[in-house]
Amino acid sequence: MVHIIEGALPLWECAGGYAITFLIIALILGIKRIRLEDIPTISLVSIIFFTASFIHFSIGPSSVHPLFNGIVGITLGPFSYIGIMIALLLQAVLAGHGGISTLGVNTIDMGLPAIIAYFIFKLCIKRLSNLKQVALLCSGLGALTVLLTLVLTIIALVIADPAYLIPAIALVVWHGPIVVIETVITGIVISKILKVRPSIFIRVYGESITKVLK
Amino acid sequence: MFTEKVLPKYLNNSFFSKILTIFTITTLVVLIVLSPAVHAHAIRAKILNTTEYVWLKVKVYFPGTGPAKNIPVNIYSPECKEYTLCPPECTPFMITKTDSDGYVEIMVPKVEGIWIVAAIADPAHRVCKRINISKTGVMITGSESIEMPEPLLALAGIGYFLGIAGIAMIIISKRRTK
Repeated sequence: MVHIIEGALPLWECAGGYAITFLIIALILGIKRIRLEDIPTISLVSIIFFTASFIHFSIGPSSVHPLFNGIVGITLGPFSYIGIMIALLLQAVLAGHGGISTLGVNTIDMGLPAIIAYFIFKLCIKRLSNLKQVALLCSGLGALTVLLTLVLTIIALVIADPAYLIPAIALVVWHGPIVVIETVITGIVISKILKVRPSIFIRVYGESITKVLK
Repeated sequence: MFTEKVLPKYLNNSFFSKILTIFTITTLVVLIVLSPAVHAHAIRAKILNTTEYVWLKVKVYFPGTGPAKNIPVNIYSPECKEYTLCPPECTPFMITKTDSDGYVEIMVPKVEGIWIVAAIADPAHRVCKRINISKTGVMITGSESIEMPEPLLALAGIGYFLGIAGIAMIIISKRRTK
């Protein structure tokens, strides 16, 4: 549901979506310089987001799928926005999932919650002392990113046509299982990656993150 | 043997490395430009049969998950000239629903022009098909797509990401060698 398709939004909203997305990307690149060494990590982690959309199942009259933008956000930090945009572009071009005209809006819907998850994780990680607490925090962030994504998608759809408010809100209920799935998987995946490969997180959060491994 | 001895030797060769990088980037760009418009998740309507009476049997389904049951299907006559939005901002000629198997049968008068069939499961899952009725026959345009297995699509996308990662790693390796 969160991938808004071609033709669902008016032209001015699509243009606005692109403008905001490019502004966010410019801000990210202005604040934090992307290094060549970051590109393989961004690509590989974005695969998680890209492939998650292919695992879909019917609930009610709709079809839902996991997103894992929480995992991408926590792992990549602000660069998750760029990774998500590339993944969305590939999904639109290869699989007709989403659309080229709606790419800007879709990137905001799914990329912003990822960045928010990164900031919350960055704020909270200093106060955590072990992996169990990290897993719990990431589980919460997994659920939060899905809910934020749904809220942003509903806002985008309602701006286009206020008549979609009620059916769009009903979709939140159908996404209940997705929230549960992402809650569990985000907690497990992040704590496991942190345990096995802390260097990925050290790049984003600094050496201080290793204290949760002790 | 290959990865330990042969590959580093070629990667360190600046000419080979340049050619490999250009080739990889070109392949990625060309493939993405030429990639077919396949639909993995959106609802798709298929015109299964057309006759001289313009009888349409439309199947609406979520590829991979099955039929879109009991969802509204709107039909717009050629008077509606709105082709950018889906569904178009016009008064529907007819409003119907898919059955429990995702099928809907529509009979439209043989009025020449572009008819639009719009299926709307929810605000984000909709599809519009354009049916062009002319003297020569009935032609379906719009978001008709090529059937491709979903694992293949996922694999293609993973390939692009690995390609991007690969190019970055080639350049990193080249810089370190220098």
